[in-house]
Amino acid sequence: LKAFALTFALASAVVLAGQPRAKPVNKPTTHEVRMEGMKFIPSSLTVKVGDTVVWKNTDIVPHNIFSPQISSSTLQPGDSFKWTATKAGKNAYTCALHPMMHGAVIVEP
Amino acid sequence: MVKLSVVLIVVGASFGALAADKAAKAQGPTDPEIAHIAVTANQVDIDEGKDAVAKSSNPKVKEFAQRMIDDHTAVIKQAVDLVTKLKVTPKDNATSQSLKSNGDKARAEIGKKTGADFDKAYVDNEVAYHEAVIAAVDTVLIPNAKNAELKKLLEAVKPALVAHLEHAKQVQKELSGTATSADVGHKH
Repeated sequence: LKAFALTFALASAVVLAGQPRAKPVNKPTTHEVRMEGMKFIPSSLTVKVGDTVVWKNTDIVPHNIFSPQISSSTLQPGDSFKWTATKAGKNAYTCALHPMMHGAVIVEP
Repeated sequence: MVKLSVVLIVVGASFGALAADKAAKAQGPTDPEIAHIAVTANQVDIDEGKDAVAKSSNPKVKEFAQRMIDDHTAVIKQAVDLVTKLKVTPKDNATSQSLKSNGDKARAEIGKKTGADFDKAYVDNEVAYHEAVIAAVDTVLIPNAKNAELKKLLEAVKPALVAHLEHAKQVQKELSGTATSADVGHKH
């Protein structure tokens, strides 16, 4: 029985060694963008598909996120909004309440 | 034109009086007085904004006025939250009283106008008011604030005030018909 177990283990090791290595999977990451001083900080952020972006309103006035791809309700000071990237591409956005504020999330495959 | 000048002068006069006030020069306003001035200054602008939302029929003016109401309401909430946390009771003072009475005078003058004259008077007043408030925040309120959190709050308010001023100037240009196509696409 001992010899069988040893043979099985060796055989398994040989078979597994012959398999093509699986492509490493990116672990989804969470990124943060602050709304502060009437700006998005950082104003441009690059993420991977599957990553999550959290906008936090650390400013003194309400803001929101507005674009065809990303849209939040009004975020009062202290509020946050979460969005997960599902598709590669550039997502330019603004604060509809203060259109001088611009930001972008670039999503890579 | 003469009446409009009067409105602009009385609005700016409150903060001018603060800078000229002998007591303020000697030791500056205390933190409880600064807190009271901050809340009053925001409330004056909210009251003027409510008048404009109710009376104006110009979408750009109404949008600007609503933004003033929402933003300054948020600022007051944070100021009140902070003084509650710090256990500071805002103290009424000559500057707050002057701001309130001059704000009431300005509202009365602007309120006598109608249509495009009302819009122009309101927006002109907003430009003058924000210029005066920014100057007071920079030269009197921030330098005299002793508590670090109160000072931080005042510093945090400034970018919003600057954005409001730019927005008001943009609406002012649009009302006078001097806005360029680039201006129209850039509200603040």
